[in-house]
Amino acid sequence: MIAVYLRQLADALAFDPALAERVLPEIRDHLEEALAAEPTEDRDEAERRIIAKFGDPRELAAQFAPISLMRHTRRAGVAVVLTIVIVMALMKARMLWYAFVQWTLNEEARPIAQLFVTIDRYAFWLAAAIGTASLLYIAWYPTPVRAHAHYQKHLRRAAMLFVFTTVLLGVSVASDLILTALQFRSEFGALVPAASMAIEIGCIVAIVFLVANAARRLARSGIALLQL
Amino acid sequence: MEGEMLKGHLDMIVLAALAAGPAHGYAVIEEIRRRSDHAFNLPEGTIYPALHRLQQAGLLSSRWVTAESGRRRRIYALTTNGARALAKRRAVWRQFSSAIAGLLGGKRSRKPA
Repeated sequence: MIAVYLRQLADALAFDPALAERVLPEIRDHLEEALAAEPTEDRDEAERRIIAKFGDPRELAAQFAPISLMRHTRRAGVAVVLTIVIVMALMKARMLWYAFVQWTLNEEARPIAQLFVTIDRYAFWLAAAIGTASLLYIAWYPTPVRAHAHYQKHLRRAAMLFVFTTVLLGVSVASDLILTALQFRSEFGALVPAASMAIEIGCIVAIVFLVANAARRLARSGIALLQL
Repeated sequence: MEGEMLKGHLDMIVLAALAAGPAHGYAVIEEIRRRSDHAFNLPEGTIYPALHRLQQAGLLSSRWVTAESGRRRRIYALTTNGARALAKRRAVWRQFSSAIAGLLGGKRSRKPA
């Protein structure tokens, strides 16, 4: 009977398999300890009583939903802010490298480079401001007992801000890529800007995945909660 | 005691139960029952989302240990922030309960002369 209950709980927690993996051993331990403390020798009756006292698995899963949603949304936010820091450090490192190897732009490439420098600067600083503010916004919001409509709206707003920040960072990194291509020379020193660009692009791909995952979970849990 | 009334104070109840020392979920429930003289009778499962939520808020920490029975067990403990939050909630609760007691007891505050 306990095994059936744990299977039902695992099904109800299907919206977050990692959470289910953490919660189920803890609950199994609880139920087994409660069973060992039961005075009756009728195991079936004892299991029935313990499960009744423990509560409905769907109700329990509904109480875990806001915790799961907050964790994934915060994780996406932390990844976005970390990416902002990494992109800025790499941009500064590339500037220093260009000065060190004395790479300069051709005269005819200067106007187009100026345009992309402006796009890059505005997109990056806007992303930094929105991303940091969004993370602070979500960090101060307490996780409620139930995922009520206001809470879901709050998380959706934060996720939208992270999506917007990711788009701006994408624009900034694309501008970086164009600026790097304009200055690129086929020589050994080119490894530094090429590697730094590869890291920037890798970071963007990672946050696209994390932010999309958080947004998808929000949508999926919203539907699941309506069914609970 | 009313379930909904209890749920509203569940975080404070769990923090207070863990003030006695680190414990696993089952022991937290036993501690709540013992200290409330069996007045609090929530579905036992409710305690786990509360423990996870308090940990997410940084008010609890947890670690896995192996019990004598050989089962893996998660032990929760109050963090410094948790102890601080409990002290704050205790003070608010005392103020609130004293105000309600005064109200329900029908006492009227004296008007200034």
